[in-house]
Formats: sequence, structure tokens, C-alpha cells
Amino acid sequence: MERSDLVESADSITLRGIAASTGLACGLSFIHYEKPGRVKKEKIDSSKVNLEIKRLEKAISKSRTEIIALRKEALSSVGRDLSQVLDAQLMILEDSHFMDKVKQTVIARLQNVEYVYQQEVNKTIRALDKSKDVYIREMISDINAVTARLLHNLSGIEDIKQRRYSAPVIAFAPFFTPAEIMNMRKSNVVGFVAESGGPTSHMALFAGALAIPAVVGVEGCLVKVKARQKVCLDGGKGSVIISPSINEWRSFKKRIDSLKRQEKKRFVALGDIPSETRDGRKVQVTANLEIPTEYDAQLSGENVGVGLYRTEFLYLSSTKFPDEEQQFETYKKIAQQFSPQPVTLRTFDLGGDKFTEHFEDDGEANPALGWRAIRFSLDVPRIFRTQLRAMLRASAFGNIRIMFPMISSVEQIVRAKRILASAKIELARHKVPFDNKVPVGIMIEIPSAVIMAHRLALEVDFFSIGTNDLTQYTLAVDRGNSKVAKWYREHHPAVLRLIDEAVRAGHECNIPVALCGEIAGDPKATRMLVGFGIDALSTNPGSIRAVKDIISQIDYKDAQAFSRRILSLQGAGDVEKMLSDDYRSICRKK
Amino acid sequence: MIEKEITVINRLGLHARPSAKLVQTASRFKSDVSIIRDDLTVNGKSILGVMMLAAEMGAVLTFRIDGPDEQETLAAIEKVFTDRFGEK
Repeated sequence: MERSDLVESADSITLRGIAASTGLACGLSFIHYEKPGRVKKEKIDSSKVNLEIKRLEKAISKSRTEIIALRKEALSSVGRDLSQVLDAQLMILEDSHFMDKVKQTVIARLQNVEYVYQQEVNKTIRALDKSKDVYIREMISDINAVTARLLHNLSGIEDIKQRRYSAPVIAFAPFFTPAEIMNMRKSNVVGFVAESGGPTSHMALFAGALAIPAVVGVEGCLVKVKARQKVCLDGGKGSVIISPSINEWRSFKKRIDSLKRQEKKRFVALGDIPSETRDGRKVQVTANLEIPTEYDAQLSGENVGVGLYRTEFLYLSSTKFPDEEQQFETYKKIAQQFSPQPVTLRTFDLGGDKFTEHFEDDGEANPALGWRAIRFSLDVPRIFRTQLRAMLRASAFGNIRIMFPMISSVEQIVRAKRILASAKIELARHKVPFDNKVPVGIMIEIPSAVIMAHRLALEVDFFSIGTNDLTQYTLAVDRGNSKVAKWYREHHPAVLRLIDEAVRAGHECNIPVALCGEIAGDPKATRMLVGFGIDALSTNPGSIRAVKDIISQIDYKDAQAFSRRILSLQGAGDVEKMLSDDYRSICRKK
Repeated sequence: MIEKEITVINRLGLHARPSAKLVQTASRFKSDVSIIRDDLTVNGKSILGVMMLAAEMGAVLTFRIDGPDEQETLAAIEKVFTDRFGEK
């Protein structure tokens, strides 16, 4: 951690702080300085005590709605891990033991809610303030964020409509709450400078997740900066230049522009790389997606299809199960966006770790072997049918494919297809358009599905091998368990043999076999997977280029021979070594 | 009533997420859960109480559990600690 110090030249001032979120930004300074201030102690009339309590309850309820909305937004913009910061805020707000104490004190002492709340919450803050541990201290910011929101909602002051700055702005403040960071970026705020905070503070993590440059722990920055000054910010170096020279300003702008151009090129001409080997074997490379991003348009423009769309995002980002209309709108949008390329929608893969509030978590001893994915869907047909109806309706707007996760037996497919058929009949009866021939496929991720693959293939239009779960179930290793994680090896020959077997079964029954899972995005594994005869590899968008590059440089015939050699090896280590050596030789030829 | 000392073993200590997890776990049961650190006693079902412990890695907490399902409560709480609250 660097100490902040001040370097002053003629006009420009360079401040140093802690690098919190990399990237460059320049804009005009804006000082966002709302001092929370101490609330006044007021005496209330004993006849008004009930009103006072009601006021508190109303403010809690409004705050709750706001935080839930923020959490939903956070889930799609900063990801699941960070969005849990808002879960903690929600729990603080809903701490009934604490709130009961506040209410009792209001009644006993006839003091206003604001004052009592702050007095009580300060007890926790004072205890935390004694700690030197940064993670423990960070809880102060969680509590402050909730207090500020609650006090604002108690004040009854209308929310100021969010304004948008006409020019890019760099915001300065003592600290920023996660909500402020998420909201201000929509108002043309391009960088954050905070007086307090460290590299692991929530504001640093949120700015990082949203890719907005930020420098924190810049002591004295609020004294040095005035409103509407030019500011250049280097988030990676942790430096802030206030009123830079014309040359500094220009060179910053130039660097920002060139970075932007590079970023745009990430998917450029992806469609020009052939999706086939040199000897003409076609292998599609598709994207795994779960949330809409700004890259979707670029990907579809490059003729990239969606090999796996994880629909559980819709559930995880909401406080209740998304209704048919919500789902339909989401699926329709993605179908239209990617049409005519296929979009493979996987029905909810919920359960295990993903259960939160809607269904009683029975604390299953073995969640990975428990009530999840298709097992859950078949047991709750109301939710399953709603999802299938939404998917079917979306199929009228693009090239939709429907996929069931965690299939272990023929019976599950038969039952799932029966529900699908009845959803079709309902839609047809109401003259709602849909694609009657929408392809239906299954995930192959349980060893029993591979063993029964020939039989399963007769029931469906395609297979998609999920290597992450297939590895876990084949090797009986929970990779979340650090004691056994070392035995989780997706290159284990047993897993590879199952992949090979599933492809063969699919092809013998004339259905295509795709593969999703981390290994699909590893260019070292591409030649082997192509050699197995995989028809499509579905991976995170960032890996598509590397995988396509390999496909276009190899021969299918060689790849087949190579994959046979791999299958004769005895351990994951041998496989990994052979893949690394092979990859190096492909890269050398390039 | 049962009492048991538990040491915080996860690297990041009882920060916001582990505190939340601990409170959620304690709240699943009927028994009262008190957590004692030195001369401070807090309610294990109140997140602001648990936060007040400011328990960093290595802190030793005494759990006092009283109620019809006190054994199960203690077992569940011990498990979240030994699982290091799912910390990676």
C-alpha cells in the first residue's frame, strides 16, 4: 500500500493513492460530498409513539425494495459474489432483534426514531472502529450505507432524479457506497477518487467489476480539488492529476482512445476465421452466456451462436420466480439478437448451492446428488411448464433450441417432453405462434447418461456434454472441497473416454454432439476434442478466438489419430503433458 | 443449555458475508444463541450484534445455546465455521 503524498508542479497537482480499479479516465471533477451529519434528538409526544414506529416501518420497507432492486442490478453488472454485499446490507436492514430494540427505546424514552437508530447503530460501529483488520473494518461501510439510506427514507425527502452530466465526470468523495458506484456510472461518471478505503474495500471491488477506473485512499484529495477542474486518473498506478498541462491532458486522451479501439477489436473478424479444419471438417464454436452484455451484438454480428444459455440467472437475479412474460421477453430478445444463429436455452439448473429463499433448504447432505436441475423441474411442473411456454413462444422469433440439464435416465426425458408437448398444445389452442419443430436436447453430464447414450439419443435432437459435472460425477470429487480438489481432473482418461463414448453414440444415432464446460475453451484441448468428433464447442466468449484459431490450423485426420493416442494414456498428468507439447508445436508452426 | 468455544479459522474473519451466514444458520433453529467475546455478549441471530464482535481470524468465541434443539444448532454453527464460510 502506498502512502499518499502530494507532488506539486506549476499548475498541475499529482495526488497518489491506492490503485483500486485499473484503467485511464479524464474528465471534470465533481465533488460528491454529502456529510451524513448527526441527527437531532427530538422529544416526541406519547400519543405519537405509534406514528413514529409506523414511520420507521415504512422507511424500512422502502429501503428494502431499493436494496433488492440494487441487488438485482448488481447481479448482472458486478456478478454474484459482489452482489452478496447487498445481501449483507439487506440483513442489516432486516435485523429484527436490532429493530425491536430501536422500537422499544423509542417507546421507553419518547425520542425520535432517527436519533435512537443512530445511537444504537453507533454501538456496533464503535466496536468495529477499534479493529485494525481491513475486512472487519469494511463492515462499517456496510452499516453506513444502510444507515444513510434509512435516514434518507425517514426524512421523507423526495429522491432527486438522477441527472446525467453532459461531459465525462470524475467523482470525488470521502467514500462511495456500492449503490453510488452503480448509479453514478449511468450519469457519465467515468472515474472515482475516494479519500478513504483500501484495495479490498467494497468501492474498489465494485469499481473493478464495472471496469471503472478508481483510486482510493487519496488522503486530502477533497481539500486539493475544486469543482469542475480537469482531472486525469490512472487507476492502475493509483495516481490522480488535477488541472493537468495541455500536453498531459492530450496524451491521456490519446491513450484512452487507443485502449477503446483495442477493446472493440476483441471480437472483430471472428466470423472470418473458418469454423472448419484444413481438411474440411466443420466444428462450430459457440458462446456460453448467462446475462445480456454489450458484447452480444458484436458476437451475433460475427455469426457466433449461443451453445449454452444459462437461464437460472433470471431466477438468481430476482426475488421471486420470473413469470412467463419476463422470461419470454428475455428469451425473445436473445433469439432475435442472434438469429439466424441458434440459441440453446437450458432449462433451470437450480438446486444445490443455488437455492436461496423460495424453497426450504433442507440442508441436503449431498446437494450435488440432490434435488436439482431436471429433478427439481419435474417435481415443480408449474414452474417448468411456465419456462417451457416462454421458450416456445420465443422460438417464433429466432432459432431456439431447448436443453434439459442433468438427465440420468430415459424416463426423465419422456416426462420432460410430455410437459413440453402439453405446453405446445396449450399455445396452439390459444393460437400463440411457436416453432413446432424446436430441437430438444440434453446435457450429458452424468456417467449413466453416457452408458445409456444410445438409448437417450433416440429421444432427442442433440447432446451437449457438460464436462464440469461429468468430471465431478465420474471421479466422485467435489471440487469445492479443498481436501479433495486435487483429484478433480477434467483431463482424467476416464472422463475423456466417456466423452469419446458419448460422441460415438450420438453420431451412430445421427444426432450432433456439442461440448460445453471449461475444457471447451482451452485451446490446448481443442485438437483432442475435435479428434473425438465433437460437432460444436461452446465456451466463454473470450476464448472463442483462440479455439477457432486452432481448429482452422489442424487436420481432422491428424486430430483423430491424436485423440486415439490420448485415450491410451493412463493418467491426467500424462494427458496434460501431451496436450501442452502438442499445443506448443501447433503454435510454433504458426 | 450448552456452551462451546469456537475459534474463527477463516482468513478474512467474521466480516460481512460470514456474519450473515452465521446469523442465517443460527436463525434456522429454535434455540437462543448467545455469542460471548471477552466481556461482550451478543445475540447470534442479530447481524448487527454479530458484527459488533469484530472477530478477526484467530478470535475465540464462546457460544451459549439454550433451547429444544441446542445440539443441532451447535452442530450447524460449528459446520459453517469449519467450512470457513465457503471462503475460497
